[in-house]
Amino acid sequence: MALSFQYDFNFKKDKTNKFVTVILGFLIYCMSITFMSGVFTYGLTDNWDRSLKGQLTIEFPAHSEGVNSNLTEKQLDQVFHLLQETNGVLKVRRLKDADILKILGPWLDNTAVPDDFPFPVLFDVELDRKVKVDLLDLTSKLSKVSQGVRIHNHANWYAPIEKISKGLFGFSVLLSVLILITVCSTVIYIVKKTLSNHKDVVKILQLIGARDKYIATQFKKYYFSVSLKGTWISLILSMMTIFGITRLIEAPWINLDNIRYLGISFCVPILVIMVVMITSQSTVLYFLKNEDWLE
Amino acid sequence: MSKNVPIISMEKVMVHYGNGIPVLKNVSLRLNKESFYFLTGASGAGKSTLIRLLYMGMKPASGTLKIFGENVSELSSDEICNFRQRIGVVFQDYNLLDYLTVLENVALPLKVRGETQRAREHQAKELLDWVGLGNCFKAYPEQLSGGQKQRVAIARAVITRPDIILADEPTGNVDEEIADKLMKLFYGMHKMGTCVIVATHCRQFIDKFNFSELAIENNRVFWKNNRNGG
Repeated sequence: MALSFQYDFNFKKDKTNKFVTVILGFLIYCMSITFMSGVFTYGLTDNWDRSLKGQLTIEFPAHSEGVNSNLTEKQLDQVFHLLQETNGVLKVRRLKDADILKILGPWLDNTAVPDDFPFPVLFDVELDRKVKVDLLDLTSKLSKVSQGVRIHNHANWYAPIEKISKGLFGFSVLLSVLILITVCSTVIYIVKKTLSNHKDVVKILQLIGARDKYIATQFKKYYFSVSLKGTWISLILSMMTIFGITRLIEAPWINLDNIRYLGISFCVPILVIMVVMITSQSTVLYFLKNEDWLE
Repeated sequence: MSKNVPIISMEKVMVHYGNGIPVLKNVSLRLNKESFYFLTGASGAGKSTLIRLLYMGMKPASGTLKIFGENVSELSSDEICNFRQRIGVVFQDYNLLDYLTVLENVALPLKVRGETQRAREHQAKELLDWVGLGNCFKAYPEQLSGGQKQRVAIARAVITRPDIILADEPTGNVDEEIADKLMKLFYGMHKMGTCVIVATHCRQFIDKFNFSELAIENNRVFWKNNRNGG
């Protein structure tokens, strides 16, 4: 007969330990979702950051009389020349009327645009992020070419959104840390209770010369298996959530975001399992050191 | 090695519990290697306390207790663990783990020491054969009689081949015939070179085996007869 590996403690008899699996599973799920939300927010900010920061739109408004363009070819050349000469400007592109129509689309709805629609002249300017462009000076120079020029700096309206977005990301990190603290507190409470329930076994083990580390390792291994079971619960819930949201927003099943979220669903439990193992072992060592069990 | 080398020595040892009332006063004695001692006294006299003191379950309030030549009060927790691995303890109420099989219970001290599964299994089976429970490997303690449980407890206590065996009323829960068998097991261990200390109030065995007798009365420990020169 083989003496297969088994715990010296009869952990199965503890009813509280059955709930720990569910509680840990739920906490891992909450942490995964919180972390995913954080990553989603961060990703959104990052996308905006990449696409909007360093972008300028220069507008020469149309004449009120209904002339399409208020700039002559010569003025257009001057504007191009002036912009390209400006330190920090990487790319200049004049928007065609069709492009402007596309931008105005949401406001115009399906209304037909009359032939004499007064289109402004718009320039899309890409800036080097590392160089600070003096927009006042640029406005002043462009005004000399044509009065009424306006420079729309996207960073101006993006800045508060970036702040909110970064705040949300920070909040999700804070929530994750709070969940981790809850995991630690739960494990400490349960381990203390379990240790107390098995006081007799602790005594017997100490009597036959078991070191505190041996006893703590038994707990560590057990709570590893408990959190591993909890991980399954969390993984199932996470996958259901990811695919539920994917279906809701009608995105393709396999996309980069989903792969990223699945990665988080696997990585967060690994972190939690490690925290549970370290916490359970440290808790046992602490209580064994600070209480005289054979008394 | 000489039998007259002290394995346990006490110098003016005083023991008391939380209430401050002394259980043992001014105990000074020497217990030798490879010897057999009976520890006698009325119920509540302090036999279990003395046994507990010897397996380092408590420390003396004052005085010096030396085990294996080392002052117990100065030992680190790791050293205490090492010492406990050299001491086998048998209790009246067996202290077996009821969710482990007989084989697993007996092998437990070896598991604690980090022995391989094969070695644990081999030695546990050998010992269970020795105590006459060769056919009970797979049984659980609750399936055994009192005498069988006590034999399992003895097998567990001696599996590490300890230098000292402490038995606290080992025959208290078994009938006379089984008690006789158990005493023969302790005698066998003594013959193999282990220092055996049996706390009992059973006069019959004390008279039959005729070993040194250490008595506790009025919180004091004294020799009723000492055949080992301790």
